[in-house]
Amino acid sequence: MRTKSVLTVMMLACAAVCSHVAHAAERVVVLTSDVAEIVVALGHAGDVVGHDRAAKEPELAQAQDIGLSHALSVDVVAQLKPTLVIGSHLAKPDAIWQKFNEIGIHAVEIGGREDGADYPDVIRSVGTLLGNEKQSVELAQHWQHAMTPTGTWGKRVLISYDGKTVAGRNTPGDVLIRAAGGINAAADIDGYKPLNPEAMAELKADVILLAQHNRAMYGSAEEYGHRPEIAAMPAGKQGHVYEVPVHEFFTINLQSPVSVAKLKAMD
Amino acid sequence: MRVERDSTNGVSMPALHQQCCDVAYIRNGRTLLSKIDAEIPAGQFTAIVGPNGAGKSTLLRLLGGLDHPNRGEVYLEQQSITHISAQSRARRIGWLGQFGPSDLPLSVAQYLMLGRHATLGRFGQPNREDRQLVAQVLEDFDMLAQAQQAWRTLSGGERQRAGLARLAVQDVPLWLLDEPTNHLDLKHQIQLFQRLREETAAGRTIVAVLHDLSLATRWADHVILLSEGRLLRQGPPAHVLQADILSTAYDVSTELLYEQGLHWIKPTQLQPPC
Amino acid sequence: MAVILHAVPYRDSNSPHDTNVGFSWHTALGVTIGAAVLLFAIGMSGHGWSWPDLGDPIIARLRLPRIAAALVVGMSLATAGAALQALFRNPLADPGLVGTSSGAALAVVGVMALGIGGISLPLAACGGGLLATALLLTLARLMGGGELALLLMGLVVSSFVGAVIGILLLFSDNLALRSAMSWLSGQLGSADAAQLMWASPLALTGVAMLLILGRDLDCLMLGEDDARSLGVSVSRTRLLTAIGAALVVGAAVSLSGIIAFVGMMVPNACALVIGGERRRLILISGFVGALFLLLMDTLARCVAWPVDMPVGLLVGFVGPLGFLWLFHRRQRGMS
Repeated sequence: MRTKSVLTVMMLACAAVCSHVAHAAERVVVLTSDVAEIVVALGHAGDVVGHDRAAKEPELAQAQDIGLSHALSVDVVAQLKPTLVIGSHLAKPDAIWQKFNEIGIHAVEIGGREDGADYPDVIRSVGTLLGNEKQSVELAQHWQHAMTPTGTWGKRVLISYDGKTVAGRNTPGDVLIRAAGGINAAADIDGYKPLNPEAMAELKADVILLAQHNRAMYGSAEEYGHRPEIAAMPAGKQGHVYEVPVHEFFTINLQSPVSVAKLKAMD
Repeated sequence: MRVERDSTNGVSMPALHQQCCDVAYIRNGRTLLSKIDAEIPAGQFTAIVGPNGAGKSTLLRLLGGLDHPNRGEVYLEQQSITHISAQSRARRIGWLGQFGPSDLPLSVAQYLMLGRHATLGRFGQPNREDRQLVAQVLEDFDMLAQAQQAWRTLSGGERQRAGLARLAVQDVPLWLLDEPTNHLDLKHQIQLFQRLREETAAGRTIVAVLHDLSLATRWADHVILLSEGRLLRQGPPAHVLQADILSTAYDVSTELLYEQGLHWIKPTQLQPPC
Repeated sequence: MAVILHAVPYRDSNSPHDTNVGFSWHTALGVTIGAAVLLFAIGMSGHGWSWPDLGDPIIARLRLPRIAAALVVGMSLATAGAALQALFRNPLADPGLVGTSSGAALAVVGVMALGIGGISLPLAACGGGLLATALLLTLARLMGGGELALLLMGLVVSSFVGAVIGILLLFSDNLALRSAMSWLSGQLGSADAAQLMWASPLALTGVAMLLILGRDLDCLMLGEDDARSLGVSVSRTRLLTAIGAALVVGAAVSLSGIIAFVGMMVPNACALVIGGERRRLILISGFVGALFLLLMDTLARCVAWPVDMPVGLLVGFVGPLGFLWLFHRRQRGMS
């Protein structure tokens, strides 16, 4: 009897020590907010000791702000003694990954296409690095399902950054439009390109989206709708010109299914 | 190269004389000129001479109204030059600096026409009379063939001639020339002085800063000798050219000879270089 | 059109043997070329050239303002360049030397960083440009005035402003700033009729000032003393030229952002052909600059259809090549 209780205590102690060690082993620094979002969604906010300034999730409040993701400093991150440093291609300067490896910090750049079409893979990559594959696979599947087009919405959508530069193929905007079951009015164009207003007049879009932080460039949604090339198309005639936050329609993230739903509601 | 002009075509105003009364000029704490009481006689060729740093160019600039004295007055025909507007000065005084521009994208004729700026002002356009004057001056100065040539292709001597031609086009009774012989070879120096004498004969007052004493004594009517910012002597060449005063000015013993109608200055203290 | 009409009464040469035949032949040629380029531009689109239907709102409200903007900006930059090259006695002088481009850039970035709503970018650009030139002139005067002071202060101001903009961009996560930089970078697609309404008189005023100062600038090239002796007020000429250039460049920047190279290259190219007499050079440069930029922008908006190439890119590519050829011709002519 006594042996049994000693063994139990030892096992419990062992388990406690093991879990404590396992827990103490994870000190994660997330360099970019897009990856931070996934880390929090996978329930690993507690492992995070450092995040970039733009990551505003309340779960990360206890972690340290390491600065702007486009102007990172290796020293600031290294001081936190991380066991894992992760981020997307948005982390700058580009040489920072090599620097981390040179000083022996395990740093992994989460690869991914610019247009976010492989976002489920990104979710899974993060999960694998955190040692939580199962949950990440679930999350990825859930997200992918939410992004599958249902029925045919069929509207022509034009997503423009500042009223002149439009999102063609291979952009996050294009991914969102297709997920909504719509047609990218600028599908003839590859990537983000500035368009000649006369060419824009020929696009015949039903819905136009503008990144709202660029107001100074295009005036306002109403003013923009009065431009001759816009007024001639259905979006201008019916007033379906909308100003949207940039992260909702110019990036792919966990909230993208919500963006897709919003888009469908615009016409 | 004979100048064939009557006095109406040559100088359209009566000859001017200038005067400096107790002029002093100080720049950056250094006194460049002091107690200058100089005369520039009308209708004559005055040479300002002296060693380096004597203040010759400074004095010339004061005469031209390009700078103003700290003390004393510079007079142009009894009128203080500070009370004459720039426009009015430009119609009476012509200036040819020591160094011309290094590059000028104009033709010779266009360069000459700039002399008319004083009379035309900002809004005027050259009329036929202006153009005829330029043509006449080009002919007088033997540059008619080069009228459309680019100024930058002229040789040093030709640029000097063009500069004087510009002054002729400006049609002013007083010419101020800062070291006009600097870039000229012997032949062109002689041509220059012959022309200057022709101009004074036609009634122009000319003042030139000269480096070369013998040229000054040979060609000038009136010589002003400066040294270390002071006026040592002024007057006809023979009066100024005295061994004692020259030795003081140039800090070298000299002997004067008068041979074959020319003054010769011979340094007597020739020390070997150390 | 105003530029073309203005060219008509101007004499062709200062030579004593002036003939009227010369001047009208050249002017007629100029007018013909201008009309041809204009017709080409109005009818040209990504689908090729077609006889323009001025009733089409696309052409009337999109293409015509853009064409007018190209003419105004081209004229402005070239005339400013011609005047400043005389002022600084340097054929490499560029309209940016009076600080206008730097001031415009900083004003635009500043307005966006501070999120001042309601102030449009064009207004900020022009205002900032003029303020920068005023600051420059004041600083130069404090430094004792003179040509060197003006030049140095110009360099100091543009370097400093460039650094400030860089720092603002680095430490701000305001994405709008980056968009502002693209507006600033030399494009003609954003000018509308309203902007042209107030930018054009501003530009024409500046050009008029520079033309009036033309002969003063010629005299200035003789050297300060010689110029003064001809009745030119050197400091006033410098000041007025800088102001005229600032007005003209400010108007241009408000329409198109900063387009490099036109202001430096067009006057030099024109001088190789017609000589350097400043008044005539300013006029002809304005004319040639307007047509040149129009041609470049027509290519820029059609050659990569439907993508709109920023005209500054095309100018930076084509300009130097053309200039090299002209310079080579001049060298051969001189030897």
